[in-house]
Amino acid sequence: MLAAGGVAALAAVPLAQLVLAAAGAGPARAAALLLRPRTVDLLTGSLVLVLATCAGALLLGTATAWAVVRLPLPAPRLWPVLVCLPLAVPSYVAAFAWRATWPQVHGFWPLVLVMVLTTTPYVTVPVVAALAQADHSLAEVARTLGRGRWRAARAVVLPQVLPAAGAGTLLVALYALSDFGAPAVLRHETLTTGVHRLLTGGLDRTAPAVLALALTALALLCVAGERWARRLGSGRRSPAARAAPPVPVHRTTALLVAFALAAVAAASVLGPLAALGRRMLTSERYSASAADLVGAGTTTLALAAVAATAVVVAAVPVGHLAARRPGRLTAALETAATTGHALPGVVVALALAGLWLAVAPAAYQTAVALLSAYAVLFLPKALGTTRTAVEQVPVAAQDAARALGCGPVSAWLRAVLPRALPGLAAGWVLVAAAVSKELPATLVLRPAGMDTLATELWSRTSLGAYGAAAPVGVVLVLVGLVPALLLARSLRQQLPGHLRRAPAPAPVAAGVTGVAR
Amino acid sequence: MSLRTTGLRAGHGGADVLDGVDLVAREGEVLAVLGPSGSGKSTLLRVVAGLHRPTAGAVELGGRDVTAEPPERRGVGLVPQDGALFTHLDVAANTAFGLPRRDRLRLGRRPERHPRVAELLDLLGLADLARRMPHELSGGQQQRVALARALAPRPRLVLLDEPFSALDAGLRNRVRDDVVAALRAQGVGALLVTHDQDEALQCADRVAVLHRGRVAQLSPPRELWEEPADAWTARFLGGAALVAGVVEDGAAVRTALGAHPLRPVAAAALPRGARVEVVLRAEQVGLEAAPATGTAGAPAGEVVGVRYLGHTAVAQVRLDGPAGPLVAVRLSSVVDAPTAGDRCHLAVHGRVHAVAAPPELREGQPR
Repeated sequence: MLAAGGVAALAAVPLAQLVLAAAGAGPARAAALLLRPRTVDLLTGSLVLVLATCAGALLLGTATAWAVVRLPLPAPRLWPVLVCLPLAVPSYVAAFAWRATWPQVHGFWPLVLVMVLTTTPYVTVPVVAALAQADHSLAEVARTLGRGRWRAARAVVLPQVLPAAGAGTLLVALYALSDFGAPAVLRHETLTTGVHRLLTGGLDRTAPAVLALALTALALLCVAGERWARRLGSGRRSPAARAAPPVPVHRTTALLVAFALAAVAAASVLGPLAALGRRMLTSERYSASAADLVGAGTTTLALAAVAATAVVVAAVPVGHLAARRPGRLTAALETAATTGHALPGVVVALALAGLWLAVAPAAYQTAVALLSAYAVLFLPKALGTTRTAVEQVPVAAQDAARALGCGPVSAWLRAVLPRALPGLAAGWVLVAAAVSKELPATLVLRPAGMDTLATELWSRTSLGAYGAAAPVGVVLVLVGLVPALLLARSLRQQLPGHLRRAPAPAPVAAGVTGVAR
Repeated sequence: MSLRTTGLRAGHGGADVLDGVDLVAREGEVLAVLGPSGSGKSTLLRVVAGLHRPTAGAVELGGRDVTAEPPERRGVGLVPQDGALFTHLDVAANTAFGLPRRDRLRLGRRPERHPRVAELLDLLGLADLARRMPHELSGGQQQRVALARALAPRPRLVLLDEPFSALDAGLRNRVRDDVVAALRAQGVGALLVTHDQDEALQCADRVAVLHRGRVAQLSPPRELWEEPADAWTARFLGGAALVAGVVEDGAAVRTALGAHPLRPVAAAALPRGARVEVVLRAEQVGLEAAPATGTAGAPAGEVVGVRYLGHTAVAQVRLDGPAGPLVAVRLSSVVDAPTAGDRCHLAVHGRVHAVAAPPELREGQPR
């Protein structure tokens, strides 16, 4: 309990620091900063990007999900995996890939395209799960009560799916709001890039803090909305839900849809990879950078391993509490511990830079400061998996261990840990992958001369050395594949049989049992 | 090792689930804690194990107050409802879990070589399954392993939390017999929590009936069955009809079925003139087909239903008259069983038990 409280408090420190720093401006100056034309421009830039990305991702994601679940597509098991893959490509890598191919392409619409392609899985995945679990018997009842096919779907299926789509879209909004790399690469100014510019450009800590606070307020809105939508969606599942049969469409239609889905997947994953590969092959300069690449890779690996281990260890007390003693206090601690989920990387960097300078100036721009930022940012990623992992171990097993002579810690280590280990490991992998791809906080807080893969890509791109940056991009995509495939696996576990297993020789099997009876 | 709880109170935030539980389990006895769901029996077990902190009262094991001791120092074994085996360990390793660290380290990967583990696996018929993982076992085998695991560190008392409720009916009796036999072979006392009346009556030395967080009665099974302490307990045990009556002179009681001699316990406890509920066991009541005209004096009624229990059957008879009580009659043979609507006479055999009528219950409701 105490440990969980400590972790939660530490995770919430950056937000508090930010509020304090912004408050230092005083109301008059803060208002002036917020209302000056430049801020309004940045805010508009952020909002139009968020709106356009959300609209695109919502449409594309919902349509994709519906097609994957309800249409008799060829190779049905392939699609649930394929819809997760775009998550492997960090938006700044995708942006970089397009830029490396067509250097003259930049600005708002290309950015929206990149953002939509990379964020659509946030909508597709929950909607696929919701559609797959939607109870078709409800739609059937609605039909028998006199509704037509579409009216039945609107009355019954839509309410089962809408919360998932809404929650997913708000995650997209959060991503678009927080993203620094892609807007920077494609030269579209948003609040995030604005904060970064102020932060790296000058000594004034108040102006970026005020902007960052505005950004955080928007992000918190997204997170609150997302939680609300998810709550709406939960607890509505009927225990004996029946899966809907595929919508009967012509074989050609199904093939065309499959082709369209494949094209989208190719544009989001293969496109950037191909662009990077082409750059690698045509550039003469990349061989010279092999040593840098190895160095950055090693640094990244070390940082990721240390950060992931620290985060998982910190997540254990909170996750354990959440699994074992749910209640109001626990929920509050959990919320505090997940603060980092709502905070854009730039904002965490800003807050922690201020904090370290105030508390221990010697630690500023050392690996310690950097690791603290990773911990705050990615603790939420490990919390979920830790909680689920502990929940899977029955309390009775822990009780039995206590009765057999184990103290509380020993009982946890001997009865809970061995069974929670796969879940903890999954959390570790998620955090390690996220750390490897992190860009904005690393840019601000890294020690001088230290380069991770992400900053390596960044600095080469800024220099226009696209060829040299390409292999870094490829490695980053490969790192990103790990969480994407983990997500695909957990999505598959929620799906009905025909999307999970090989299409069974159903008629034959039915025939055999029929004879046997 | 004897167990004594005095004035135990405990709850889960809201109202107390245990409302002053006083209980004594003698050394080596199997004591069943019987109660409906929500009576607090599982909470009682967790308090005794040290897994739940009581708000008041004390737990003594072997005369020593252990109320403040953590579970690992109490030396009580626990067999949870579904066994709760450690799924990452095989049968032998599960059994060896509570042994001293020294022993476990010495045996390494072959815990089945430990004499205590081997003894228990043998005792419970698990010797061939030593290297199986929990998911490769049937429900009954899992419960045996859970008991072997609990017995291995030689506990002073074993706590069993509805250990057979998840098993199907056929298996349940066998596993139950094996478990009780193993407990007796090890000479270990046990607290068996159950909501199943038959289970409590069949395998316990004594039964504590828990009602609304208190011990309503603590008696050997036969005494409990024949002389329940109050109307609620009589109804909960089932198999009897409660019929309103008044105590008369000469250790007798009068009901709508006539005058019946009282059992000595009831006669001693109830004053003359007391309003009581008479516990009419179904096997105490005889049934005869009534001639169409009826015989004056003999209590008559109408069969309202017959429940077949295989080799025997129980008829429900409503006595004539306003608010005539329902009486259960065990039929000795199903061959000539009456059917609903038949008229009949009833006769009560032997001495009857009676309990003081609760003020709000003047009329018996059969179960």
